[in-house]
Amino acid sequence: MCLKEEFAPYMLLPKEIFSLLELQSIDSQNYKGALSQITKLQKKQPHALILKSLKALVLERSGKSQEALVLCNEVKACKPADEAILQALTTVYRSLGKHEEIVQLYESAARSQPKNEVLASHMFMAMVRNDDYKGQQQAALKLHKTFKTNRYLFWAIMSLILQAQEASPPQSNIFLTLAERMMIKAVEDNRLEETEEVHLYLSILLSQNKVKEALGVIDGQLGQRCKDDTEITRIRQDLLLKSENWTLLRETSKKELTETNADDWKSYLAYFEAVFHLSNSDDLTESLNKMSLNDVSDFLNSLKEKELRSSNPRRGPFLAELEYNRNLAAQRKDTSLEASNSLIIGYFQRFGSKACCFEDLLPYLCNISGDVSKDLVDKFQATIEESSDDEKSKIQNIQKWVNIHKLKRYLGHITASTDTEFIQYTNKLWHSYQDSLQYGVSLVETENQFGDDFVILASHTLIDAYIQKGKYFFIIKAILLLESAFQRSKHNFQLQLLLIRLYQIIGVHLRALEIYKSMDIKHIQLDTLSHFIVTRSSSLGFYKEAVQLCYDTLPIYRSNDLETPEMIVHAYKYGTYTKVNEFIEFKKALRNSLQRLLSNRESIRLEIIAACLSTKRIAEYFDEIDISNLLFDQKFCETRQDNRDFKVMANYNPVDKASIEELIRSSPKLDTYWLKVFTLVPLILKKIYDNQTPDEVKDLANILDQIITQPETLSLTEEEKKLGQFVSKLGFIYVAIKESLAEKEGTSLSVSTVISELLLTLEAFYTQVISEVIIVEFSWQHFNRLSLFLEGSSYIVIVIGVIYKLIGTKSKKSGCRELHQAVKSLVIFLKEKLISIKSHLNILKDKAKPAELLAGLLPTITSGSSLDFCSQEENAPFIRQILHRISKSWTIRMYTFGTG
Amino acid sequence: MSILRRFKATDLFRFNNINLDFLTETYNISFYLSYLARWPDLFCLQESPNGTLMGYFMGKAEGRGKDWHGHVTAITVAPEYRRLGLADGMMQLLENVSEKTYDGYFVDLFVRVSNTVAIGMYKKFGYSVFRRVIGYYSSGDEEEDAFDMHKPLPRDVNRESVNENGENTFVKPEDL
Repeated sequence: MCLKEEFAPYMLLPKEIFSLLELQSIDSQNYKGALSQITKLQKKQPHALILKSLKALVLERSGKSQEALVLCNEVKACKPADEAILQALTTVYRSLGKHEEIVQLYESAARSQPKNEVLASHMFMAMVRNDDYKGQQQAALKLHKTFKTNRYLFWAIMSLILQAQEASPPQSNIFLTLAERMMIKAVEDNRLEETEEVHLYLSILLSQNKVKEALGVIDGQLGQRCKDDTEITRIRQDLLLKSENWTLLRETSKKELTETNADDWKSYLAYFEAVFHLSNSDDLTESLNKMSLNDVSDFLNSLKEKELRSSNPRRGPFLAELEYNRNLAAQRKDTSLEASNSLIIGYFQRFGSKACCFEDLLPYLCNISGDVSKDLVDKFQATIEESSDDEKSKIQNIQKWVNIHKLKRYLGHITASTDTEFIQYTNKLWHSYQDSLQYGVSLVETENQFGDDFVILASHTLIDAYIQKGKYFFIIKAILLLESAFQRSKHNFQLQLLLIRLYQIIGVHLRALEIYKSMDIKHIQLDTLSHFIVTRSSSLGFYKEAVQLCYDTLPIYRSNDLETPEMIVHAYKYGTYTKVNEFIEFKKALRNSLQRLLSNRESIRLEIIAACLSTKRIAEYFDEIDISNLLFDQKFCETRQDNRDFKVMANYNPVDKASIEELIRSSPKLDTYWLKVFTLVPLILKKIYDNQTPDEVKDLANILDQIITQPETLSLTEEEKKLGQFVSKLGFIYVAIKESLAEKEGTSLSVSTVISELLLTLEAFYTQVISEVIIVEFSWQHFNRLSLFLEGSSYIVIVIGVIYKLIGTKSKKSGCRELHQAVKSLVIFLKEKLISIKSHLNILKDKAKPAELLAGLLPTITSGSSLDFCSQEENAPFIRQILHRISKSWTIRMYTFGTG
Repeated sequence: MSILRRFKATDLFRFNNINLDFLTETYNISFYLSYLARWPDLFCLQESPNGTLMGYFMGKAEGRGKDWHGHVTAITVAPEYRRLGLADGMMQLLENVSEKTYDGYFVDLFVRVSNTVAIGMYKKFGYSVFRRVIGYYSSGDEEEDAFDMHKPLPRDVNRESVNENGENTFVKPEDL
C-alpha cells in the first residue's frame, strides 16, 4: 500500500517509461531491476532529469542515502519545475530530513512559473514542513494575492500567530495586532465561512486577552454560525467566567445542564462559581439577582429526580451536590458536618458499586480527621446489603467492598505494623478475592475477574510490609498472589505492570520481559511506556534482548519525523486551524522526548559492553559511533520533554505518601543527571579512542567528576557514581600519559598516582560485589553491582588498549618503562578480580539452582505466619512452578555475567 | 460526571489507561492525526474531574448522495469508568454533530456479530442491523462477520437507511 504512494512520481512519467518501471520494480520491489532499467534509458537520454531523480529515489529506497543525495543536489541545481521530478526529489529529501532543500527546490520552481498554483502551494507546504513560519506567511500572502482564494488568507494569519508564539513582547504583540487587523478585514469582506476560521479569530483575541471582543464574536453573527460547536460553548463559558459576568454565567451553565448534559462537570463548577459570587455581592442591582441558596438545592434536586427516572442514573447531579456542599462549608455558609456526611454516605450507597466511586469521593474525604473518616467508612459498610441472594447484587457488593478497602488504604486506616498483621490483612483480601471468583466463571477470556482489585490491594499491603520490614519474601509472596490472579484475568494490565516491577526488584528479567512483550506496547506507547522495561536494562544483564528493546522504540520517532509534518500540512489543507498548533506541540514533544535519549544512551552502553568481547569489535564500534548527537549541555537538557507515563499504575496510597509506582522502582527514576553521565561516558571513551588532545579529555572528565559528586544527583545509583568515577579517572590517566609522553613542562598529573587512585576505587567496588551475596535473596541491587563492575572493567580494557598503542610507539623514550609498569599493575589487578568474580559467580549459580533455591525459599514462604495461599496444599505445584521460573532466570543471568 | 471535550494530539501521551485495555487497539500517529485534521469535532473524549482520561470516540463523515453519513470508527471507555453511561453521552454528541454540522442522513458503525453486549447497547441507542458483512474481521486464520448498524438521522425522512431484514442481508467486504 505504501509502496504505491512512495512511488507516486512514477505515475506522472511518460507512459513508456512508466510501464517498464512498473513491471520491473514497483510490484516486486526489485530495486536492482529498476536501476538497470534506468541506466538503459539513460544511455539514450543521458541528461534527462527525470531519470536522475528516479535513480535517486531508488537509491534512497535501497539504503544508499549519500549517493541519492548527490544525485538530488545535481538535479536541484538545474532548477526543475516539472511536477514528477519535484515529487521524486521531495520524496528523497523528506525521507532524509532535508526540508530546507525542498523549500529551495519549490522556491525556484515557483519563481519560474509564477502563475502555477500547485507549485506555489507546494512551496507553502514545504515551509510548513520546515517550521519556517515567516516563510509560510510570505508564501501564503503571495498565494492569496495571485489566486484570491480565502483559504490562503487564513494560512497567512495562522502563520502570523505561530510567529507571535515564537517571539517575545513587544514583537509578539505586533504579529498579533497584524493578525487581528487582517481578520477584521476578512470579516468585513465576508470571507469567514467555517467554524475553524472563527476559532482562528478567537485564538487571536484570546492570546491578547481580549475577553470582551471574543465574547462579541461568539454572541454576534459569526457565533450564530457555529452555535452547534460544543467547543465554542465551552469557550464562551470560560469567557463569561473571566469577564465576571456572573448572571449570564449562571444562566448559561444552568441551561447547559438542563438541556444538553447533566453530567458536565465544568458547567457545575461554573454554575457554583457564579452563584457564590452573586450571593456574596453587595451591589444593590446585583442583589436583585441574588438567589437564595435554596434555589441551588432545588435546581440540583430537579436534575437528580430526572436522573432517577432513568434505569442507569448518571452521577452528575449527585456528585455536584457534594461539591456544592464542600463550597458551602468553605464559605462557612449554613451547612452542618452531619448534613454533608449524610450526603457522602448517600453517594456511596447509590454509586458504591461503580469502580470510580473511590475516585469520586476522594476530594470530599481528604480533609477530614481520622476518627470522622473511620466513622464514615463504617457507615459506608453498613449500607451494603448482604442479604440479597441474586447474582447481580452480589457482584455489585464485590465492587463496594473493593471501594471500601481502597478508601481505607487512602485514608490511612490500614495500620498493620507487625508481620502477622500484614499477613492477616492480606489474607482477608485474598479470601474476598476467592469468594468473588464464583461469580466470574462465565466471563470471557478478555474480561477481568470482578475481584481482581482485591489482589492488587493485597499486593500493595505486601509491598508496605516489604518497605517497612525490609523482608525480601514479601515481594515473592506478592508475586505469587498476582501470578495466580493473572492466570484468571489474562489481560489485566494492572496485574501485568505490577508483576513487571516486582520481578525486576528480585532481578528476574525473563518473566518481566515475557509479560512486557505480551502487552503489545506499540506506536506512541513506545515513548510513554517503554520505560517499564528499557530503564537500566543493562543492569539485569540480558544484553541481546535489551539492546533490541532499545532499538524497537526507535520507529515512533522516525514516524514522528515523517508523518507529523504531513499531518500539519493536512490541517492547513482542510483548514483545521485549531490543530496546527496542537500538532506542532505534539511533534516537539516527541522530537525532544527524554525517553528517546534515555533509550539511546542505554543502547550505547549495551553496545560497548557487547563490543568488548573482541578488540576488532571495539575498533568497529568506536570507528563508527557518531558523537555529534551526544549532547549534554544545560540548555539541551532543560528542553527535553518527559512523556513517560508513570500514572497509569493504579495507586490508592494516601495523598501525602509516595505512590505504589514510586515505592516499587527497583532503582531511582532516570533524569537529566543520568542522561549527562551516560552521555559523557561514551564521549570520553570515544575521545580517548580517537587519540584526542589531553585538554579535550580533561575537560570532559572534569565535568563528569563534578556531576557525580553533586549531592542532588539522586537519580544515579551508588554503582553508577562509581562507574562515573572509573571513567573520569580513566580520562585523567589518559591525560597524564599523553602529557608525560609529550614531556610537557609542569604536568599536573602523575600517571602512577592516578592509576593507584583507580585501583583503590576498583578495589572498594570489588569488595562490595564479592562480599554481599550469601543468602538466597538475589535482587536487582546485586545484579546491578555485578553488571556495573563488569561494565567498568570493559571501559578499562578499552582504554588500556589505547594506552598500549600510545606507549608502544614511543617505547624508546626514557620513563616509558615506568609507564609500562604502572599500566601493567592495573592489568594484573583487573585480571585477578575478574577471575575471582567468575568463580564467585559459579558459586552463586549453584545457589540459584532450583533444588537449592526451593530448599532455601520454600520454608520461609510456606511456614510460620504465612499466607493462607501459600499454606494451601493445592497451591504447592503452582508455587514451585513460579520459584523454578525465578531460579531459571537467575541462573541464566549468572551464566551470561560469567562469560561476559 | 465528566468533561466532554475535543481530543487533542497531546492526549495521546496520556491515554494509556484506556488503550492498555486488551480490546482497544493502538494505531499509528497518522491514523489519529488524520482524523483530527479532518474531523476535529468527531474525535472527542471524556475527562474525569481529577483530569484522568475516561474514554473517547473517533468518527468521520463520508459517503455520497443519500449515503452521506457519520461513521463511528472507534469508541472505548477505560475499565474503571464503565457502566456510567459515558458511551451514551459520546454517541449522542457524535450523532448531534453528524446531524447538525455535517447534515448526514444516518450514523453507522461496525461491530463483531459475537459482541452481544455492544450490539445490545447500540440497539438501546436506536441502532439496528442494516446488513451483515462476511468475514469483515480477519486475523490469521480466524474470520468473523460484522454487523453494519445504522441509526437514521432526521434528514432521512423516509428511513431509507434502515433495513428491516438487516441480519439476513449479506454482503462481501469488497462490495461495501
